Amino acid sequence: MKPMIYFQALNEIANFGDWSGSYETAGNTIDQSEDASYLYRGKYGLRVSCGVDDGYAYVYKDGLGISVAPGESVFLSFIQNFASNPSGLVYTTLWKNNNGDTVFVSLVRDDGKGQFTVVDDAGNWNTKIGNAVLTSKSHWITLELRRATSSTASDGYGKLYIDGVEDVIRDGQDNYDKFTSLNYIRLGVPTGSSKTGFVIDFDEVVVANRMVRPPLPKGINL
Amino acid sequence: MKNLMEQFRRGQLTAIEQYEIGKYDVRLVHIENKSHFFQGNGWRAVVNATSKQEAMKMLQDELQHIKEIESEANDILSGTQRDSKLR
Repeated sequence: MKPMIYFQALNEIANFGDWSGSYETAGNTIDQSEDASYLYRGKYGLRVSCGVDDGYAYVYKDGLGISVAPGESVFLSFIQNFASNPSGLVYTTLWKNNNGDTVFVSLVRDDGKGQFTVVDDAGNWNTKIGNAVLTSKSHWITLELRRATSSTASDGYGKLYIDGVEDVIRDGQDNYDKFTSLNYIRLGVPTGSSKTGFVIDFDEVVVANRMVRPPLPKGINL
Repeated sequence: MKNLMEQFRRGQLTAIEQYEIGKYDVRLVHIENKSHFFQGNGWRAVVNATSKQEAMKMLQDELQHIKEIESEANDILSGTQRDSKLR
């Protein structure tokens, strides 16, 4: 069965035209840059530079309106390149449901590993730290959030994949009531509590009901 | 693309209109196709919308999201620290 693609941002349209918008605070920037474009996939990517602690620099997409059935997952995939390890925790994505509740956040740590947090029905923020180092080269990152199958089951989970391979899972999550929908995502530096001194590039963003790799032009093999 | 953002960041775009949204003073400084460029004290936002009214509503929603996420930040950090210790 073909995947259902809910949202895609290739970042080729001027002024973040794929997105609802962008937001940045003093000393932090997000740009569409040729230098941030992933190889053979268009001209522009997103470049985020963070020069001031606790600032913001992100793009966001509102009004996704994705209904999540019990036991189903939503996958957010993108190319990510941190040139070097950040000086502290850096948030990279944030997901909200139709009620405006945060349901999932992802991060990169100062040791270069990934991390994410699943928010459960009780409002607990349940974190998992990844195994692989994500910095110093481009990686195809996928984050999966699965809704629990029933209100009494604790079988929801969050999962991080790197280059198509599972890196880490946080299972046993009771998120049945919380993750009924996905309406909003942020990508970049989305929380205002990240630390300074880094540049991140993002490109080829896909939200789907399965992990999706963007197609390459004919004749190109990476 | 780059030049416009540089002008935007340097505050070189003249205000077209000014508003107060919640506690925020907001200046609309540029419109290009669907993209509305807003500036406040220490922040900048581009909002893609079909009309100015829709762009202002979207900006208002976004500023509200930021307030909510700031209040969640301690929960996120304490969850992170707790789980890091358990690891």
